[in-house]
Amino acid sequence: MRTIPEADIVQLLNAVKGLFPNGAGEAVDHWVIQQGPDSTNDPAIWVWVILKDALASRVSDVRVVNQIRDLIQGCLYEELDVHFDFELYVYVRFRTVTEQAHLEDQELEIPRRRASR
Amino acid sequence: MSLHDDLLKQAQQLARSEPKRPKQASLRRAVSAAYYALFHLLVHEGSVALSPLASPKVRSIVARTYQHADMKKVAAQVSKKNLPKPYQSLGLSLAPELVDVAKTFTELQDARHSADYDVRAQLQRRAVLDLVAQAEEAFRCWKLCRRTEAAQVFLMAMLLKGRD
Repeated sequence: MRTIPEADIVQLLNAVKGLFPNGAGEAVDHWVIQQGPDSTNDPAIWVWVILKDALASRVSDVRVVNQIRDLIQGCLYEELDVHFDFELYVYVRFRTVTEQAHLEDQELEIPRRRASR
Repeated sequence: MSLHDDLLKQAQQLARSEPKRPKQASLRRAVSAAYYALFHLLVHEGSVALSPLASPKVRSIVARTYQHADMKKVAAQVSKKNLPKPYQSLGLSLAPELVDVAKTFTELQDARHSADYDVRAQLQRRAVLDLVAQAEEAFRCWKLCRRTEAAQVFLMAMLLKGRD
């Protein structure tokens, strides 16, 4: 599967986080990105939005979660879908900095390096 | 209560069980239950829509023909505000609630696959609660859009994927 340079994805995400509702853009600490085929073998990008612990409550309402998901998907589809014959799917998940650090400490198969701030 | 309502309730309970230290088994089952809640909601609605006069036994035969991967491919297209090609000429507009349901279905299927099969994954309560909340929201959204023609086409397309 084709992959997109991570820096390009991060640049797009950093540009869109200013539009997040409820001040959620300020809650973003960094992004963790994974690319590859999903469970139905379609091209996929997983975006984990890593939230500052103190501000994570700004993303507690499901409608805020869905709005952020829509913004991230919209942005990435607009720029990247064409490279995957419009079959790309973007999955969006959320974790706090503490949760991400805990996972990285356990040395599990989670992207360990932060993509960027 | 219906199977899909019971599964959603089970997902809610599992996601909140073991308040201090949630077990991976509980979190994984919560994700799986949330996915199957939405799956069975859509399958139920589809089998009723496609065979409204049939007995429950006949509808159960219709329900069993829904395939997870086919449903996901259709849902992924609707997530991008497109109906599959055979239906695009109908010129139907997609309610935002329908797009939300499609997005959540796709998201939950991926999460369920990981929860059920990826033994290396470590699930965390926050993420699981998010997924269960998205399933709840999808149920709410479905109620708002289920009578639209696009929603009915969505149900049909998920069944007929590859044969339409």
